[in-house]
Amino acid sequence: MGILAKLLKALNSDSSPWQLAFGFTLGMIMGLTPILGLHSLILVFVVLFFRVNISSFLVAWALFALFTLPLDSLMASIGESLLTTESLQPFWTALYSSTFGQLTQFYHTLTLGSLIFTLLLSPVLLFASKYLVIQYRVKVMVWVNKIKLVQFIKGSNFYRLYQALGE
Amino acid sequence: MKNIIRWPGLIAFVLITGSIAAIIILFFDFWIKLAAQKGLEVATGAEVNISAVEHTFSPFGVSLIDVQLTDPNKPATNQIQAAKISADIELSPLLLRKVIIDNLIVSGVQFGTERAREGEVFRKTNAQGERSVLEELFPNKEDLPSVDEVLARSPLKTTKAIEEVQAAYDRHKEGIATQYKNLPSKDKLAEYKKQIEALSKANYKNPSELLAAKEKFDLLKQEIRADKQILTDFKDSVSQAKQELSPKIAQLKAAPGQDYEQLKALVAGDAGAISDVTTMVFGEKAAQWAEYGLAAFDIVAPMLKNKEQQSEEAVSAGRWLSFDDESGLPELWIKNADISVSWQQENLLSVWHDITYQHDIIGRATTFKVDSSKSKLWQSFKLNGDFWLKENGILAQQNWQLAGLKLDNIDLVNQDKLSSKLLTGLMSSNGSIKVKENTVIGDGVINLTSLTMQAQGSNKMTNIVANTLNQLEQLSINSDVGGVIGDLDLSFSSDLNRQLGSALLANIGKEEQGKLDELKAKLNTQMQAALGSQDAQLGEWLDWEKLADGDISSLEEMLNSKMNNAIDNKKDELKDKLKGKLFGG
Repeated sequence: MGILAKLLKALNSDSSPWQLAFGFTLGMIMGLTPILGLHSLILVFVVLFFRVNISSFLVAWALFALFTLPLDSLMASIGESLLTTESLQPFWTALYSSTFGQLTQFYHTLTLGSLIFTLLLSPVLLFASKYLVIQYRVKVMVWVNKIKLVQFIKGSNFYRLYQALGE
Repeated sequence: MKNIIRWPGLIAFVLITGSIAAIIILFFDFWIKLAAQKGLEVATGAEVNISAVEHTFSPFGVSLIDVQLTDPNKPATNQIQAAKISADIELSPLLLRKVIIDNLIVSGVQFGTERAREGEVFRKTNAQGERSVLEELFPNKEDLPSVDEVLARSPLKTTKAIEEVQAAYDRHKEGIATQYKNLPSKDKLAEYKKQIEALSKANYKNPSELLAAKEKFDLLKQEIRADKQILTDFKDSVSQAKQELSPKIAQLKAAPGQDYEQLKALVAGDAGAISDVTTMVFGEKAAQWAEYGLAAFDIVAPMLKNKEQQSEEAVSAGRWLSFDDESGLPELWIKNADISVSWQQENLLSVWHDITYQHDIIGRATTFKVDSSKSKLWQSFKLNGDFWLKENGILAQQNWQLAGLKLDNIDLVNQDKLSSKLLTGLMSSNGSIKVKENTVIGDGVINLTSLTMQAQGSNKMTNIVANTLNQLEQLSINSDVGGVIGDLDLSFSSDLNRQLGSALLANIGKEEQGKLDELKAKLNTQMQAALGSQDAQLGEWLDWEKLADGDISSLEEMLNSKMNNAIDNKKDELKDKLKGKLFGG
């Protein structure tokens, strides 16, 4: 609930649409890939070190984690087919023998498959979410701000507290 | 640049990752304990308990304290319990999910210890239940069968011999009777004789008469030959019947005696009880000793095999693939292991090399060796063996030599009908087993000397067994090992069976003796009844055979007779006539 409020605040704030879109995209990758892995550490570093919107990242992470169950077998089969492709064997063997390769755990079908799947999906989600943020601000935000309930929330201590946390 | 970088974020990242690392390190022993318990439970199929875990980072090593592996077949006991397991683990292969242990030290290993509470079983093995059931082996006196019951259920030789004699008689009876009916009558034979005499003695006036007589003579001979064949066939049939019946009748005459001996054992006790007494008295303990001796195959190898199968099973959320790396490492490889088994305050050290379930990758078998010289409990104990887990099963072999193991106060059987205890004794044993595609073949000898036994029975029969055991000073038990890995089948035999058999027979009481006399009488009556009719029939056939023999000789004689005299006379007459015409005489 708190994260949703933060997201709402971020959407209504001066945060750039790119910040929000990157948050969504990186959250999607985090949500759909196995949490234990070098890629998760890199993602957390990117989100924290660069000005990516953390609220949108957290919302997207939670949201896309719900899709892992139906998508896992598809993503694992992508990884399986890549790892068993004959022409790629020298590459995987070299990667497997290196410390970096061992840390990436790309020889796990789901880890590789989900990363490839989410990376392919990333540009689409990035541009789509940026477009949707802009549209939201132009068309919905003005209307939402006029709703009495929103005005009431904005006037509450609860909202002020969240606002203070965000600053 | 400044706009896109969030410097406080870097601090947050360091704090978050640092916190995670701190939590991991803080609870590292707990994670190891969980992982070790889960891994061992997968391998054994039953609950595993680890009291505590210790670790060192440089060199990376883990120690498990008081490890208890529940026996899946007997959840109230531990299959193995180890006081401490310490392992030096190579770190870099762990990233490839490969556990390479340079040195493993297992101390204070004990088998079959009692658990504080019953362990959970996740996977049942196919091992059989209890081996001997004393209640079935030694029936109560009132359970002893009646003579009629024994006669009804026992495969008696007398009954079988009667049936065989009857069957043989039935096979020949009709054929011989029919052939006998078709034999030429005495009158016919006399007629042949008369005709032959008449033809050979007649005075023929001219050659044409002689020629006609010769033709008649030849026809007669043909008839005689045909009748002779009938007689010969009959004789052959009788001979064949005699040949078949004679030994069967002899068998029938001997059968009651043989049955009597067999039934004597049955009435005295139970043949099964006598033959299984070694297994019953010593089997459980010997099987337990064998279990320790064959632990490498029967416990360790199946555990490794289970682990292999588990790693082969696809995990629902993706699977780990291996690629040929330069190291060619198996998923689990314990290069050297010292396993110390505790038994009655003595430690028995076994040295192992190359423990893995992927022997094809390392290219050699797992080897194990025990070489223990004199201790307080034994003079020497040598054991060596190896095993190789292949796709189609285990390939293994093991030899052992044990000398002068002191046995002290060992409970052998402790049941209502019979209890026995080995107070003191010395045990020596040697043997070997081989395993191919999980099938075990092997044998061994267990020599027990300087025995002092204490046994007690509760009925007449078990008292006899107890007395025999109490007098036992030495015993040699032969053991055969068979079955498959994980479900070994052990059988034991010894001279004790014969000793007990004799003791039981020597102690037959009045009631049993009465039953035996009754049996003997019944058997003899059955035999005499069958023998009487068959003997008479055979006697009749033999008489017929003699008669046929006489007829055949007389026909033979007739066939040998010729018309020589008549022909010679006629020849002389013709010669004289020719001389008169030529020389005018």
